[in-house]
Amino acid sequence: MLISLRHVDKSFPVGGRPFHALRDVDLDVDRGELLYVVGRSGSGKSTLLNLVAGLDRPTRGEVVVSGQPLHALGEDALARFRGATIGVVFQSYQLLPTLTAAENVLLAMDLVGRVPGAKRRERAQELLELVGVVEQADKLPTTLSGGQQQRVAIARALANDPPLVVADEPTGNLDTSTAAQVMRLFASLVDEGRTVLVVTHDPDPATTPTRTVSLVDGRLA
Amino acid sequence: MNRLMLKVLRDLWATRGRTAFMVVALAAGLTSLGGVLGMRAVVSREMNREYLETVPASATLDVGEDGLSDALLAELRARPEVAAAERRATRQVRWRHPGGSWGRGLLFVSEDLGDQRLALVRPEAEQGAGHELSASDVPSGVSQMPKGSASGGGSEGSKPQRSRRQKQAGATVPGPGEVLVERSAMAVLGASIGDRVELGLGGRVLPVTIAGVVHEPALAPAITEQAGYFYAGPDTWGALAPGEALDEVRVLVAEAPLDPVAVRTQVGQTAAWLTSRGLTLHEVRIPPPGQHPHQRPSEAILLLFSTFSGLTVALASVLSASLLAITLARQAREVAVTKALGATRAQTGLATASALLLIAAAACALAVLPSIGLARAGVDAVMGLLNLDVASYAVPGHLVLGLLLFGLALPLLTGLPVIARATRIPVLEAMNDHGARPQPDPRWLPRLGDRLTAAAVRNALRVPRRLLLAVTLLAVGGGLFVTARSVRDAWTATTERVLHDRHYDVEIVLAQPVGSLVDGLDPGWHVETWATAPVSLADPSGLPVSSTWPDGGHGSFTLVGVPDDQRLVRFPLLDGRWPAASGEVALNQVAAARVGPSPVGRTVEFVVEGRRATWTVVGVVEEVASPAAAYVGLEAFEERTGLLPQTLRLDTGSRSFAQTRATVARLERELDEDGVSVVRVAPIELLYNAMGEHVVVLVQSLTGLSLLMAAVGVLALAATTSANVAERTRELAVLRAVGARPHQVWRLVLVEGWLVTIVSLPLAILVAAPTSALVGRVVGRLAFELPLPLDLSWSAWAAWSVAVLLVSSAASLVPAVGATRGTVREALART
Repeated sequence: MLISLRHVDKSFPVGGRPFHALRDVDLDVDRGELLYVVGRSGSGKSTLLNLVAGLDRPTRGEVVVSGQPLHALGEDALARFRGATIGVVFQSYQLLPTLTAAENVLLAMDLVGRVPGAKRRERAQELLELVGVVEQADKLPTTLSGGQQQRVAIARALANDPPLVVADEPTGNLDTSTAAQVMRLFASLVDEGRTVLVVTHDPDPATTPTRTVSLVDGRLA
Repeated sequence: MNRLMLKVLRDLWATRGRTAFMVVALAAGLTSLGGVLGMRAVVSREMNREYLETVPASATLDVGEDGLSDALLAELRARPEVAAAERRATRQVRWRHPGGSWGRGLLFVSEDLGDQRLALVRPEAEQGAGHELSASDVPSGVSQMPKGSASGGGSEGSKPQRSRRQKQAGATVPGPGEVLVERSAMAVLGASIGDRVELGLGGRVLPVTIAGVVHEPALAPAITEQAGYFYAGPDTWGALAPGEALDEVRVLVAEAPLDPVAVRTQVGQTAAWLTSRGLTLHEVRIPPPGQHPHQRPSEAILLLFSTFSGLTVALASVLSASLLAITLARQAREVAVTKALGATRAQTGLATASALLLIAAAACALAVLPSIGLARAGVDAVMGLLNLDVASYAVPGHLVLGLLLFGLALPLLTGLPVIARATRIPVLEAMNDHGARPQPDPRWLPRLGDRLTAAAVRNALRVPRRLLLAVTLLAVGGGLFVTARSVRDAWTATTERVLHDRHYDVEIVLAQPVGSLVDGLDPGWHVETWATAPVSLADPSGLPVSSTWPDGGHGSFTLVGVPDDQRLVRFPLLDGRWPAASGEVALNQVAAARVGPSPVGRTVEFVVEGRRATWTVVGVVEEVASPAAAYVGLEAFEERTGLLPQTLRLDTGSRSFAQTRATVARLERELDEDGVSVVRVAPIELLYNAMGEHVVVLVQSLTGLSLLMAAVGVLALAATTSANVAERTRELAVLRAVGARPHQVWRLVLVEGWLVTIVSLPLAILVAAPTSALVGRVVGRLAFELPLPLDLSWSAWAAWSVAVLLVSSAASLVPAVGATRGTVREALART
């Protein structure tokens, strides 16, 4: 079991009152799964992903990823865990605008330090080649198209060879054709043995997930 | 290079305008601090060196009119506590060009100017050729004035053998009928080598030739004292004061001549020995060891400059922290992304701190040359004003290192809280930061104007921490500007009190009792007869000790006999009352400081011309621009000192200094014709001008510092305001998208900038009031033994207000106009 959520609640104060984004969620995800999390806007999909990615903590319950109780880790421990174990792909790419595509990927390796320094540039090239944007390696993000930026973001997510990749609406800003290519890329990552959790409100019909879970008003349907 | 560091560096480049602001502001502050501290270090060292190279006497003993015999001098020199001893005389003289009007002067008489062993004067031609003398050299450091080139007639009146270089400075030893003149006095005299002047002492007038120019670093500059300094040998002295012995013995103690306690002990031994040999000591003058007469006020001024410079750096550091906060706020999401990728707080913090360090390093590098230039210019100005030479401009290595560390560390320290906050923010919170932070409840705000104005007010309050920082920055900048101006004005106002508290035009000290002289003066004048005499406080051992320097003015203490019905001075009472009965004395604040804390009610023993009398202190008065003085009734003065009044103070009704000068010149001619011996004529203008000369550098420098602070403060305002607007370009574009016209957008940001500025203005006064009081107290005490009056400069505040409102408007409008150029789509795309 790679991911295990037990009795997870998450609420936010809104207008002085708690808003319950997740309610008593139990979820297990095995290694090698391609899991889609679907639901309407406001259903709690992104909140669930943030908890799994260690970007947020539950109000109640336990979140265990790769044997680590994320709900109990401090900020720095979470950061180290994320760097080594989880690759995060954001809807709006979130590439650092002053670094080139290759440098964005290299930065992730620099931060974690798992890949030996001498091999990082070569690995960055390989990853960019894997996602099909190696020609754009030395360009700044602002000169790339949305699809290219998202591919660079995926390459960055894979920089430290994490067993788990989480993606929040990764195709939300892409056209249909590019979105399909990106989703196929995620599927290929599963074929390599990784676990991929994709939050989406618009699943790609051409890609078949291992499993799809649906959230309605913060509960698993 | 580490990619995170690379990112931070590129971020700096991407916001290079802001980065440049930070670098320039820090560099300006560091230039000011480096320049002032460098100047302070060099001036202190060089002043010390110049003074010590003269081998200043530890004490001057006034042995009275009989002087010291050759045999007794030989015995004195052989005493173990004496390293060197010489006979000298110092007299207040008058000087004039033949047929001209009299000026004030000091005559220094030495047995052999070519063979002095202490209290040296240097031939001007030898400047810079002397060896370096450290404080530790002084005990055995009895150096000699070069004799080989001594000429100018010499004691034998031989023809001078002058080299070309020596010709520029003339003789080094005055012959009969010749004097040497201190170099700073040449400008006062308006004379050249070879010119003849007349010296007046008592009733005698002696024409003398200026044979050469010397330099005496131990003296206060003649220009600030408005006096001519003359040096004569025994022949000239004999002609000017026939039969008068050299009545001073200058002594250099053998052990620890820079230790006040050791000096006091050894001089005490010498004094006791001289007394045991039948001499009556009229006064024992022990100036603070190793301290130039202008050292204390110079240190006060340099301390003031250092304080303001330090505050300027602090202001610049807060500015850089403020700009860093803005930069990091804009990059919150990027920081969050790096954390999402696995960056720890230490990694992101270290990268940002490194960037700040880089900015500080750039500022340090940028400040090096201007600091050196400023320090050098400052050293030249101060040392020139003090009539001192500079052997080396080298700033101590430890100071340079300390400044560099300070310059690197301070921006980092002020920026640390900002960095810590930026790296501590949780990833999701930062990722979701779109500038729409929780707003303070606006309902308490009064509705000012229309909805747009209300929006501007709320905008100003949307990030309270940043608002606080901006307001603080402006308040501190304005406060320091007002402080610098207020202290400057207070100093100037204090010097103006020279005229305000004294209502006479001229003081004339005669060599004879005033007697019935008053009756012959212009009946339209108000004339009062006063009495003055140098006085010493008898110390516990009974010695009449004063701390007067050899010029007789600095550190001096005067007993003043005041007529009962006087109306020529009005010194404010600080404590107690004016003396009403015989045996009562009022001290000015300088004298009170020597007597000790709370002097009123205490008894003091004064020694005048060897005669002792006990007085009860009944009051303390505030007297600007005066050495220590003790005021007693005129009758009491005569009774207890046995001296008759020899001083006249005249209110001639002159309406200008020029009119007074003409009146005084006429009066002096009449007195000469009547055969009245005059010791000194001191128009009040002299005192006023002397004060002005003392403060001119201070006033100019304070003006410069205040402008520097204003520049840093205004820079801060411009940077933070423009950054605030620039970071909301998207929001402004959205406003346009919903129908706002450009001028409405401009108004929004203008009102917001004005609000921040206006809030800061009263706060600037709150900063200025205590700062001005504190600085004025410290500086005033050091310079005048009086706190400077706290009188805030409202004109400076008004000027500051106008300047910051203008800058605020410009700094808001420029980016706002930029944001409203082009289409809304383009504006949204730019963000």
